[in-house]
Order: sequence, then structure tokens, then C-alpha cells
Amino acid sequence: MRKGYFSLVLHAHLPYIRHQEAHRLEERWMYEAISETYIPLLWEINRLERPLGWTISISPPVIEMLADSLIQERYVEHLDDTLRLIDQELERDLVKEERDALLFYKERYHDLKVTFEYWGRDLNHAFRHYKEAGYLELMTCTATHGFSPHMLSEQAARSEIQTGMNCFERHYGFRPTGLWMPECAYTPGLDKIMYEEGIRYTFVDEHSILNADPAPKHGIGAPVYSPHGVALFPRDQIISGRIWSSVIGYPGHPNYREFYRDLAYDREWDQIAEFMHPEGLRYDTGLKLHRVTGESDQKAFYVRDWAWKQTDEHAADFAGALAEHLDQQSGQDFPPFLVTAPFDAELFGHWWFEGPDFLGKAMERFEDFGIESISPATFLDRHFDDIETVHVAMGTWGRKGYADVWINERNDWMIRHLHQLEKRLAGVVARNRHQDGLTLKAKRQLIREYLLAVSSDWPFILDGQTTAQYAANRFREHIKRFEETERLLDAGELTIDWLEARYAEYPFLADEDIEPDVYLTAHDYYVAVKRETSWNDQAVLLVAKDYTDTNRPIADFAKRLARAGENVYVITESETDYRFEDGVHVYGIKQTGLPLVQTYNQLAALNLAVLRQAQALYKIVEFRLVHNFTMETASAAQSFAEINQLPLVSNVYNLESERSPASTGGLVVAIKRLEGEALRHSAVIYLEREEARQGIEKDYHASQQPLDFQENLEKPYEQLAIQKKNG
Amino acid sequence: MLEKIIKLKEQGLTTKQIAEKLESTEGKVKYAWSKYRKSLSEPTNKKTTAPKTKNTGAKPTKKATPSMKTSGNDIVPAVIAIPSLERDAFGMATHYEDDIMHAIVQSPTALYVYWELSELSRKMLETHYHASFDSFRKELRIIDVTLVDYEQGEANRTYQFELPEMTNSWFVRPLSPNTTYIIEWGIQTIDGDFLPVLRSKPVETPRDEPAVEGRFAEVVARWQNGEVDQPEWVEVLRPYSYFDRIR
Repeated sequence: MRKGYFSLVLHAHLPYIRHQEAHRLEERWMYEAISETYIPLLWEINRLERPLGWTISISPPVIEMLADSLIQERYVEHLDDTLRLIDQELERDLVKEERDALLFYKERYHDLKVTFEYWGRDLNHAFRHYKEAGYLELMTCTATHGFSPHMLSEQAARSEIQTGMNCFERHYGFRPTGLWMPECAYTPGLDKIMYEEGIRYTFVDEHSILNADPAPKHGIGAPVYSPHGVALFPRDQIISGRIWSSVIGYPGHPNYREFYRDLAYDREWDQIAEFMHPEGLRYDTGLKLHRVTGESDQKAFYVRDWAWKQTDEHAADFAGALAEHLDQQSGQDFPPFLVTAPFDAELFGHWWFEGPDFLGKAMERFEDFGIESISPATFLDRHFDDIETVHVAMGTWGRKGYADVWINERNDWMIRHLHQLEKRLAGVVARNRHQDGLTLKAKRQLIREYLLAVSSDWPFILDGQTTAQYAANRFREHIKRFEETERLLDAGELTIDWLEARYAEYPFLADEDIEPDVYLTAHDYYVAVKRETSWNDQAVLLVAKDYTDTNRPIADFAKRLARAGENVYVITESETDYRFEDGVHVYGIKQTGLPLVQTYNQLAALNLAVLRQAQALYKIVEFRLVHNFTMETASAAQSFAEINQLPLVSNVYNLESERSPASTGGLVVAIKRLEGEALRHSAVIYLEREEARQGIEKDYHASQQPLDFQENLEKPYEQLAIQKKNG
Repeated sequence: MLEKIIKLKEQGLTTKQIAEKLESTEGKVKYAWSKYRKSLSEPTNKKTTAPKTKNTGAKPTKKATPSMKTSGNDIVPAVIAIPSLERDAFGMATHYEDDIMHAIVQSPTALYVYWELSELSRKMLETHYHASFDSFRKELRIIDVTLVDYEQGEANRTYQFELPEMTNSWFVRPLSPNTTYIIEWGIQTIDGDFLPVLRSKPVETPRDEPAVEGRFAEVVARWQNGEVDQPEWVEVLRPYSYFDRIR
């Protein structure tokens, strides 16, 4: 045996493109993946019939589509159609080479059908069988392949991870310890969620490890642990590049099948019409009869034997190069050098038609060269103790290595909608704690729509600009379906039938896969369920810059109100976030960040902080009025009252004309304007000092007659009721 | 101008084409058009409070005994209903009634930031400054807060720049890799202050080269050894609490 290891990881993924209606073009992506990648890989696994050390990740959308009877049925129809097309073609007058290529396909499509039927039309059974036989490792990825680093909340990332694992477990009977993170995207903190969900390893791109801090001593020759304990296996670009590089890569060899030349484009419409889209669209038949041939546009016919033999050569070349690579690194110990080679599975077979053959043969050559192929799981079992812990920054395997693909001028419009959905999901599960079947189903449907919308495929496709319309439409569709479901849930108009009809349109994920309370924080649970509910009713909002001002009776007044049975909330400037004091809820706000220079702007910042706290409370506390005690907080009090159509009550201790009698500067003018505005908008004005009365009437022209304020007023808000009554 | 815009819109011209025709800017045309659209869809009653669900019996009254108070508390009535939002041609909300600013990483040298400002916040600013929202000079402030506590007013460096009207997102670039940023949306006041109205959570640009004299070896070790309760680096996927700030 040679020193060092090789680990092949294949990630099978397509977006969920199952549609009830027939003839959706996108559904053919699935047929192509089955015919060209999934079944040919299974053939190789079956041929080799031994532990391969491969790890295959099958994404939940692929799992669900493989298990979908409608897709299965349509796939068999598709095979039958293709076989008929082949027969029809064979009846034509053909040159020998073309006939041979068609005969190859005839046999192949026959074999595809045999294999598909052998596994009861559900290829999940096949993968599960080989996993249980010990030939390969299986894992999955997050529920819909969402781009985790761009999610707003921990909950969304966790929901994607957990739901994906649940779906996998339902089909495969176990929970994997590794998880493919979509786009090999990692960001600090994601590892915490992964670890908590039972995941011990995932994959990142080479630069994520090379740029880790502290710099890992083995570079990409070994995985590292993230700070929260998830092993990150780096993609080895030298070895991956050998397969895919446009210069030295294998798939471009003249003997291999040409991807871009399909029979559909070589025939008159009449000859193939019955095999094309009923609306007259031409699409690939999958019968690609030519080989790469060379640079020229003149493509020669595909010769299966040549291609087959070519994979022998390339497999041997690859094994030789890998052996050399491992030998160069043989000085590495604890752990020995590991080459990790993660790929999109569809590259093998769909893009590189002979890819699965190559992989199978490469495994055989590895044996000749004494190269050990092991799964990351096995590697960890052996070497978990020899792995460094480092800080790994955000990174992906996408173009330029970060997030350029998933956030750019073509797709940036999407993100705010997704974040709103996350916030609303948190709101729905917090506000609505009903656990009955209907409500639970509704919450799950909301999450299903969010997950379908958050798929990284949509921004990816918009970035590439092919089938962009489909991606944009699907994205919008799920956002709107979410909104509609939410609206009906809030209105109490949902029915099980309606929800089931919704589900039937995109029957992705079983309800049991989805745990709504992933979106619930412990704090929200406390506020919604444990916190005293009577505190939410008919509350009075008192606003004051300094609630404890000893010259003024604000605190005494508040306490007295509370004693009289009122729900009293105070927002004031304070270092303490919250205190419940003599029946009064006192919320403290403070300004943070860079200080402001000008007094009037400091006031604006103060008011913004008041406003944020008032908004937050108003999610659950139903205020019936706003009572403002200080000019400094007037703009928040006034706007909050106005927008929410609450009466505003104002207390006046003194006026700006008294505070700054001699000054006529801009600040005084502005404050006077603010003070006057607030008083004119007040339904009731209370006077704490008689001296201010004249100013209110004369300078500010307040229409309300100021009333005398006493801290022991019997019914301070009675006046509001009278006003309301009088219209 | 609005009449002309409506006419040209009816003829199927794009905002850009209309702007060219009227020798105006795209932003102005968009603004006028969206204002006009809004005026059409505006309900006569601007009240945003939801129909009260108080009498459903689900909520205990004030006189309830303590043991009753937590039972049957399944539904927290939405005080603020989902507001009806202005929609674009595809039926998507063009704006949300929310106050949020969020920054995400595009690359080691670029962040994407978007924001929403509620009607309430606009109203407060207008009230406070006695000026229309349109008249404010809107700016972004980019703050490098690497290893410092911005809450306490610490910042390594900042810069700010004016935003065009009708902007609700920005690609901020160029930035430095391996740096923690906070971004603020605010208004530049006449007297020279920048008033932050929305603030993003901290976000860190990734490194784009091997760490030579890194800054994480120590903090990773402290975390590994259990010397700190929370990691001392930025983690963006934090729990979102709907009832945040309610105790």
C-alpha cells in the first residue's frame, strides 16, 4: 500500500422541478441525470462489487424526485419514447457509423430500463442497497440547497440542515454524520449549528483551508476542525483540475461523446416532431451520436469502443498522477496526506458521458498502484486525533471562491424577500402556539414554501442567465404562496383540503420532516406563552427622557396608575434594559455607536431609540395611548401615536421659552417648533407648572385647554374617552 | 411631469427611456411613478391595527386566576396586521414595513447591503427635522470595527458617501479583507452630523491570502480551552427573536 489516501465525493443535486402538469421542460433535467449519471454510476458500483471508499451525497430534492411515482412513470415513458425514436431512426438509410452509434444507444436505453425496473423504479433503493452492502458512504445536503452564509437567522440555516437530514433519514433509515453544504459554502458560526445537529464533517474549497488562521501546517493535505468541532475537508484543486481542466482535462478528448450535438438538431422537424414538446419546441433527445472529434465543427460519429478504451487510458493516467502526487507528500504524518476530490455528480455522465466508466476503472487502477481510497468518515475514525483547529473564513467553491455567483446585480433583488420570510416564520411560530393538526400543517406548509424559495439554484440560474425566467418565476411563486398561506392562517380561513391541494402542487418533503419550532427561540416562547398575558391589554405608554427626574412626579404618577390597575409601560433613557418596578414596566434605552456632535441630532438619535423600543413592544402590547413627559422625546411619541392612531397626551413642565429665555439660535427655534407641533397634536395637555400656560396658548396656539396635572389624578385619561365619545 | 410619465408608461416605454425623453433622471421618474401607483392603491383608511381578537375567549381576562393565565394562551394577537404592501408587476412587495439593514459578504473586498425603512421611521424623521423625507441627504457609513466595541463608540475608521434617491441596496466596495464592518444608513444633517437610522449587524470580510501573522490563533485557543463563553469572532447566523426587546 502507498502512503496517503484518496477520497472521492460526488454530490447529486437538482432543484425540485417536479410539476404536476406534463411536458415541463425542466423535468427533463431529472431524466438526463438519471440516464446519464445516476444509473451509470450504479452500474459501475455494481460491476466493481466491493468497498470503494466513495461518498455520494444525494440532495433532498433529488431523493424526493427519485421516490416520486409521477416522475418514475414519466421517466419510463421517456425511455420508451427514446427507444421508439431509436427504432424509427434505425429504419432510415444510415451510414454504418451512425447505425452503430444508434445501436449502442438502443442497448443502453434498454439497460437503463432494466435497471430502473429492477430497483422498483426508485433508485433510492439501489443507493441504499449498496450503502448497506458497505460499498459506499451516503450523505445528503440541506433541504433545498440554500446558500447558508446569506441567511438572516440561525433558525433558517438550522431548518435547512435539520429538514434535509430528516428527509434523508426517512428514505435511507439512518442519519449521516457528514453533510454536504451547498456550494461548499462555509461561514463562521455555521459549524456551531452543524455540530448541534450531529454533523461531524463537511467540505470546503482549497482556499478556505489555505487561508485559515492560524495557517494549517498540512495545508490542504488534511482536514481541519472548525472552532465548533466540524471537520472541514478541502477540495484538492490539482487533482480535481486533472479531471476538469480545459487544458489537461480528460473529457475533451476527441474520442469522447460530444455534449453539444444532439440528434434533435440534426433532423427535420417532421422527422422528430412526435418526440418533441407538443408546443413545437425542440429539445435534446439525449441521443448524441457524435464524438468530440477535434476543434472543428465537423463532428465524426461516436464510436463506443474507442471511448471505452480511452477511459482505460485516462484511468491509468489518473492513477499514475495521483500516485506521484501522494509520493511527493509522503513526508506528511499525523495524519498522512489525504487528497479530497469533491465533485458535482452530474459532471460524470451528464457532461462527461464516459465519466462513470472512468471512475470505476480508476478504482481498479488504484488497486494496481496501491492507492487507498477511503471515505472522509473512515479517515476521521482513524485520524480524528491528528487534526488542527483553526478559524476558517467565509468561502465557497463558486466563481472567485466567495459569493459572487449568489449575490450580484442579477439576483440581489431576491435576498430581502427571503429574509422577510425568515422573520415572519419566527413571528408565526411565536404568536401562534396552537398545536392542532391544521395549524401545524399550515406552519409546515409555510416552511416548505420558504425552503423551496431559498434554494441556491434560483440565484445561480439568474447569475448564468439560462432558463432565468423559470428560476425567477419559481422563486416568486413560492414567496407569494407563502404570503397567501400566512394570510389565510392569520384570518383563520385555512382548511386541511386547501393545504393538501397546495402540497400536491409541490409534494416535496413529508410533513414529519419539518419541525416548525426550529424557528422558535426560547425567548419568544417565554414571551408568547409564559409571560403574563394580562400585561398586553389596554396599556399606557409613558415616554420620558429621564423617568426618575426628582423634580417631576413622573415615576410617582406611573406607579399610581399601576396601582389603579393600569398596564403601564415606560420608555426612558437608562443603562438598565428592563426593570419591573412597583407594577411599572420600565424599558431603558441608550444610544450606542459613534457619538453625535449636535444636541438636536442627539435628540433625533434618542427618539429613534425610543421608537425602536415602542415598535418592539407593540408587537404584543396593545397600547391605548401615548403619554409624553419630555420635549426631548416628542418626535418619537408624536409619530408613534399618529401612525398608530393612538391619542397623544403631553405633560408640560416648562417650555423652551422659559428654559432658554435669551437665546434665539437655530437650536431653540427647532426645539420650539418641535414642542409646539407635539402640543398641537395632543389630545390632552397637562400642565405641571401654571407658569407655562400662557406660552402654550399664546406661542403654540394649542387648541386644547391645558389641564392641571397632579400625580394623584383620579382618572387622568377620562378626557380622552369624552373626546372620543364626542367624535 | 407625472402626466407625461403616465402617458409614456402607457405607451410601454421603460423608465430609462422615459427619463431620456423627459431629460430627467431614472430615479426621479421611478419615484414619481411609484408615488402615483401608491396613490392609486392607498386605502382610504390608513389604520394599520388589526381587527382585535380580544373576544375569542382564547385570552384570559385580567381577573383570571394565575393558573389560568398561562393556559389557553396559544395565540398572541397580532397587534400590527400584515400591512398591505405595494406590489410590482410580478406581484412582489416593492417595500416592506420594516426597519432593517442587513449586510452579507460578496467577496473579500465587497459586501452587499440592503435596507427597509418603515413609514413610522420616516414620519419620525420628518417630524423631528420638520422636513420632507425626500429632502434628506441619505448616506451610507462604512465602519471598520475589527476587534473594537462599536456599541461603546469605538471604531477603527469610517467613511461615508451619499446615496442616490430611491436606493434600497448597495454593493459596498472596495473593502479590506479580514475586516469586521458595520454599515449604517442615515441622514447627513445640515449641521454636519451623520444621524444613523439603520445599522447592520457586524459582518466580516473573508481573508483572501494565507494568514502570516494572524489574529485568530489566540482566540481559537481560548475558545477551545473553554476560557470564554462566547467565541470572540463574528458569527453571522445568530438567532432571530421575533419578540426581541420584550421582557
